[in-house]
Amino acid sequence: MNNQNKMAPLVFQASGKSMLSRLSLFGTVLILAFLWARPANAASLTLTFSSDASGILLGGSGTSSSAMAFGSVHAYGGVVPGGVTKSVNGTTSWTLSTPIDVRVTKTGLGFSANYTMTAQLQTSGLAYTWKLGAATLTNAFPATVTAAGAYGSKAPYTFSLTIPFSASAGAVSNTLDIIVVAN
Amino acid sequence: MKTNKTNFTKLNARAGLGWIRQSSCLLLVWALIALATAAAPPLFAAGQTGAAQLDAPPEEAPAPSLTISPGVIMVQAQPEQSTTQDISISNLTPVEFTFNLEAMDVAVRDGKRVFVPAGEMPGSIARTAVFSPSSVVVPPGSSATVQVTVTIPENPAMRAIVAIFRSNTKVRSQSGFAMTASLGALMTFNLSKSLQIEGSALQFDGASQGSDLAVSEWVTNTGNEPVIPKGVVAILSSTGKLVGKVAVEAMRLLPGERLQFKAEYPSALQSGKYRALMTLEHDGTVLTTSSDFEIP
Repeated sequence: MNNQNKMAPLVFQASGKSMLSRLSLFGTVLILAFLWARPANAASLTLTFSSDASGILLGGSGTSSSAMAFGSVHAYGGVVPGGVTKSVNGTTSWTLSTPIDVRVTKTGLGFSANYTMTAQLQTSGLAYTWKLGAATLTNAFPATVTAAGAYGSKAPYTFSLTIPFSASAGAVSNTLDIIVVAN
Repeated sequence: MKTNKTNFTKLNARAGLGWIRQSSCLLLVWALIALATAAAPPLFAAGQTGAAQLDAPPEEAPAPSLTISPGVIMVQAQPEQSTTQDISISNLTPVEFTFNLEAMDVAVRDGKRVFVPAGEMPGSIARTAVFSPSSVVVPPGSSATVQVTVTIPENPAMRAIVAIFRSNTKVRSQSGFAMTASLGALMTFNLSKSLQIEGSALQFDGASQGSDLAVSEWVTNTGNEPVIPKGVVAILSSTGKLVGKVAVEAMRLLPGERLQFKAEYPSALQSGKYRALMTLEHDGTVLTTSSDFEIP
């Protein structure tokens, strides 16, 4: 009994004796916090755009916001930028196309075998036909570009803009919103 | 004797407490290192092996990209219950991003997922999503966390939504086209124990060309809840002896969804007759499909 009485203060001495002991408790709490938070923080998804080896040079290549400038292009004649293909579709329209690379990486999403990528225009582009891969894009809703994109590798998707001959000449611009979700 | 025993206990207790104190100090140091590691960007993506780590060139700096975390949230709930989840987006690019938060239902049509605007389908879960805040501006090098609260309707028509950080960023471009990234977190909801998958006949690719054999099976989720089957393909000889086995990658199947589960046998098989067994397991349930094949 006597010994038990002596034992008890030891515990309290340990907790109240030094700052170091308080820090020890704090450290233990930190460990627990770390173990608890790590899985959630680790499960993440990252998206970057980059210039394709045979495509147009992107401004901001390798980041999550990129831009491409086709310059002044005509259906007949004019200069087409490197990496851009121009094709004339009979007497109805003409098309500019170029591949761009998209890379999606995952961390800690073990059960996600692939990803879904959709795309949507930020503003209306009804006079023209916008495509990314096989998906025709509008500003109304996201169109599915791929339902099973592979993680890790740069996947090339062909961006194309088709301009009807009936459209009047002028500047064409828009922003593509590329949306990626883990499957 | 009793005293000795007590003293021994006391000494042990003192020694034990000393050990705890010392260990706690070590644990503190370890915790600080661990926290520093946790704050640092991950060195390798999931799926990369230790060998790849050794063989890889010096580590590149993290890409100036957007990252959403978590990418997938799996919720166990009941109809008419609410759940609140935190979703964060990190901006490691040199550009300021503006995001509007938006939820869409994930429906399955003809075995494939489609994103449906909130409220368009009866029993929409996405329609109940409330984001706080509903938009965020994320400067370069910063991150933002948003809370999304979802209330499961009485009869939800689907079991998944996506919570999307929709980029409203105006990318500077000289008369041309810009691309901006949006990222979404998939949220799945398990509301009952109605879990069921159905398989189909095994398919064999590459068996006749002498190249690596690929064994696959189309699997449909015929239950009411999301499942994540995973499994193994075993190759047996004509005498029933195990020739080899290879893992089948786990994939998420939403109700009604149909996906091809596939395993590639990593070496060429000798000529002969074989049997393949694909075994998929989820939530304690096993689905096994077998088929004979021949390597000419």
